[in-house]
Amino acid sequence: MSLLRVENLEVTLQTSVGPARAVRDVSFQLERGQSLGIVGESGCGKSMTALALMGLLPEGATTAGRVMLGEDDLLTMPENELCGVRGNRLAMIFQEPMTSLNPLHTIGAQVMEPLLLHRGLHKSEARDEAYRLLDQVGIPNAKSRLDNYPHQLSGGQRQRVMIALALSCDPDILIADEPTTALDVTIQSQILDLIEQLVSRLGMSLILISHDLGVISESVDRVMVMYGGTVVESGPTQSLFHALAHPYTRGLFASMPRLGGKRERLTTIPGTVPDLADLPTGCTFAGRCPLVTEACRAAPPPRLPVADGHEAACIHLDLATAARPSELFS
Amino acid sequence: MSGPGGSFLARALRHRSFMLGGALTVGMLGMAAISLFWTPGEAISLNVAHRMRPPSLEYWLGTDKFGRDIFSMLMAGAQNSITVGVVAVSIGLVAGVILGAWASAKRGWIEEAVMRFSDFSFAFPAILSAIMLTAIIGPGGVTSILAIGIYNIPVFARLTRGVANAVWAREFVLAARAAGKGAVRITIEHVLPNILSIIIVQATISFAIAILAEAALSYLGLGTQPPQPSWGRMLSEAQALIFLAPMQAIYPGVTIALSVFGLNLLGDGLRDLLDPRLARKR
Amino acid sequence: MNAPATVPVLAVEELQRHYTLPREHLFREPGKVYALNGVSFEIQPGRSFGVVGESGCGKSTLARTVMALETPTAGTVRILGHDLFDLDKDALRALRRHFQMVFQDPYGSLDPRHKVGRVVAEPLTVSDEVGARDRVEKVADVLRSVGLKAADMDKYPHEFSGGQRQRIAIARALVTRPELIVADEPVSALDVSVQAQVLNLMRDLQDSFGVTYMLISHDLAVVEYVCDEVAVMYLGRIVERGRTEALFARPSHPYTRALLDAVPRPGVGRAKRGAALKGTVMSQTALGTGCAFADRCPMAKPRCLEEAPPLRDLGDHHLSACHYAEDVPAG
Repeated sequence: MSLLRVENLEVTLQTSVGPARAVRDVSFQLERGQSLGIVGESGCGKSMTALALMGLLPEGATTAGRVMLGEDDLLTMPENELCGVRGNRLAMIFQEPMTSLNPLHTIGAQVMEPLLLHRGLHKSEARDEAYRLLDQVGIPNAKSRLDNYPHQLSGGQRQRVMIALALSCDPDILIADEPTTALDVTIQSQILDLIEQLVSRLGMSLILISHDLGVISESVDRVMVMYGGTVVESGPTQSLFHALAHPYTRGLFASMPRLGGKRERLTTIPGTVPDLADLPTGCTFAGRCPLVTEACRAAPPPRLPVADGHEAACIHLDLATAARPSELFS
Repeated sequence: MSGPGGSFLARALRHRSFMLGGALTVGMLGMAAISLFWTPGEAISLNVAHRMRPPSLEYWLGTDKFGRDIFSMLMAGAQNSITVGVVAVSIGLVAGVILGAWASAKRGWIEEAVMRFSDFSFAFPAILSAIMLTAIIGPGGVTSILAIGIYNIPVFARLTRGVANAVWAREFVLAARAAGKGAVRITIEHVLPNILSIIIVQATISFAIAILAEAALSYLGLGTQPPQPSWGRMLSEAQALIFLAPMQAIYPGVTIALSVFGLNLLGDGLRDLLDPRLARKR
Repeated sequence: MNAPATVPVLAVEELQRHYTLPREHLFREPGKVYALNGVSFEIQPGRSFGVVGESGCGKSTLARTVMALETPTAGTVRILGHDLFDLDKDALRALRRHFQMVFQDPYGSLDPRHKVGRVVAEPLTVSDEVGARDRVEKVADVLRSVGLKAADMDKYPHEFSGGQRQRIAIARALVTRPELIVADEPVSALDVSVQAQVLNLMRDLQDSFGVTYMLISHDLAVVEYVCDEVAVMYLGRIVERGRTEALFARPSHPYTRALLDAVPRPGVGRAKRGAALKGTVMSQTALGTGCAFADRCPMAKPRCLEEAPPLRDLGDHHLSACHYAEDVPAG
């Protein structure tokens, strides 16, 4: 049985212009030890999906569907039980490590807190364990760093502290929401390496959220591409990047400048990402898609198989895959 | 946001405390305006024959120990309070905003000097500077206006410098500098429009404080001089009769309280309405 | 004012910028930040020059100094042959129409209280040569050339998406028909699918107006796409400079090599990432002897700690500040 099973997840947010369907009809499974990447642009629903799993959605948000962690549905779980799940079985790291750490407390105190609270360790044991955790995430001179304050650490080191915090209670699943977006590229690869090592060493599962196709394609087993609150394409990383199928994914990939590229003119997807408060009834990409037909606007497209385990939500897959992206969007 | 005007009005109408504050403030302004050409009774000249009358159709709230009509005095006193408030806040606002914007535009030792000057003048409450001013130019309405106005300068200077610094740090100011605009033009075209709403809110709140301060100064005999009616002096005159005719103290007291309350609600409401981010959170 | 081809649009020479930190201790010298430590380069008309590097390498300080928004501690910036810091106020203001800037944040760089027409016309209002009617026409023209409508000038910036706002910012930079546009991370705040639109626009504008770009970016792929030449900065110095294609294909500085290796590439597949560079950028508050990159360099030898490598010419317009430039692996 899967470790995590998300079925038809829906998230609706209350905004000043009315309800916004931030996530709609998202389903996926995560096996023990597996890593899943969620990729998409701003407002595609990738962060909201993560927050829904954590039960950390903003006030006024409503959910539907099921999020099964083992036998338990996290969406219907009361808040006090959910608190036990967060930290113990699910842990999350965020984009900006500076705002996630309390500037007034030492690193040691912050790493020790969950150890004292959840694991019931004594103070001296907790300090030893905190040292071990910081050492494990590759913080040099971990012992002396325990007494440092967050502002005395670099951005990369703060993200390492956040990872140490996330690991403190041996979670089953680590959710990393744009963990390297605020970091320089050389630091980014250090952190991604670290996450990857830890996941394989500790046998955790990983959900990595990023806007960067490169980061995703190098770091996870399976990929889910989201657009306008819904999954447009998903599959094993190798097979998905080998044969991108959905017009959005193909366009997105072609619109990225790539190192060593030919400096050919970039393909562009016209228009901008849709407003979640005002989504079309049919395919969310219909407004920008060159292949759009009446049928696309009428109803959400079904998920069609592309290859083994690789699906795309588009009714014109044959057309979309027949043309090169530059021709598709010309 | 000053952009779409219709939505501002719509939001204002929905904002209950803003509407209540606005109604109280309009009431005060209305009383003052009407008193310019009409009052139900005699507010200034004494009429000992009609002293200490109870409320009646002729004397709505009764008369005081000199036979003046209390309601008329409240109306004329509003005139006085508003004059003092408007002039004193204007002095503080103009001088303070100029100083604060200057400090923010120049930074360095000028900013330091302006801020130390503000700290220094904060050490003197309005009452104290009024007493000192009285010693120099004698008591009267002008003294209280000046004292309250001077007290307001550092209030506005500090506020302006703080919010202006935040605007100076924005990229659109950098863009204006890159276009070749000087500090004065940037201040006028970019900084002031972006801090205007905050200044307006502070002005309404300072207005309320000025009314209180004026009442306090008049109560002490340092403010408005007889025969010009003033809420503060009405209080002080009623004090001697507090056991005999307590209502005579309560009328001006309640009037002061309602005016200040109204202006504060108005200020808070404006703060919400002029800041779309705050408005959405409610 | 059209410069002859021999005069570079921008010539930066031995530029230094040191900041003094606020005094923390009464009896100790206040600390210093060494943001730029001797940067030199030239950009010829119609070319695009990219500056890449990580945070703290001094690339944004360089951009602001080139724009005369900051005064250098030492060194010169010449635009079309004029030394910016040798001009009086009025002359500098008049010269500004020849060099303009595009900023990173499409939300912060447009005054929310001004309509688009006023935003775009801003650089024109500084010199009084242009009348009001001419101004409207110029704004309409430039809005059309960045793919917006002339009617958009009556809207407020908040009515536009991020990508459109960056078009407005580009229109503002373009309205005086400048020779040089300095773009500081112009696409890094934009979504990927919108990035491409703006990058293509920048290339089109270069083709149609012959504008020269100085593009600051942390994204090597963006620089490669737009720029003919590139400089790699590390701790306030240019460590490598050359033609983009040659430099990226065959880097001659271990830092450039490490940067290129660290960039995640989509489609490569799992776990093919190059070995990560160790450590973080050294503090900018001290000037050591030797090579500033030595503490992180996988190729560092004793000589690197003692002797600072000069930026030396390797031939074919390729310069590198590494003692062992010839030994940098091709990757």
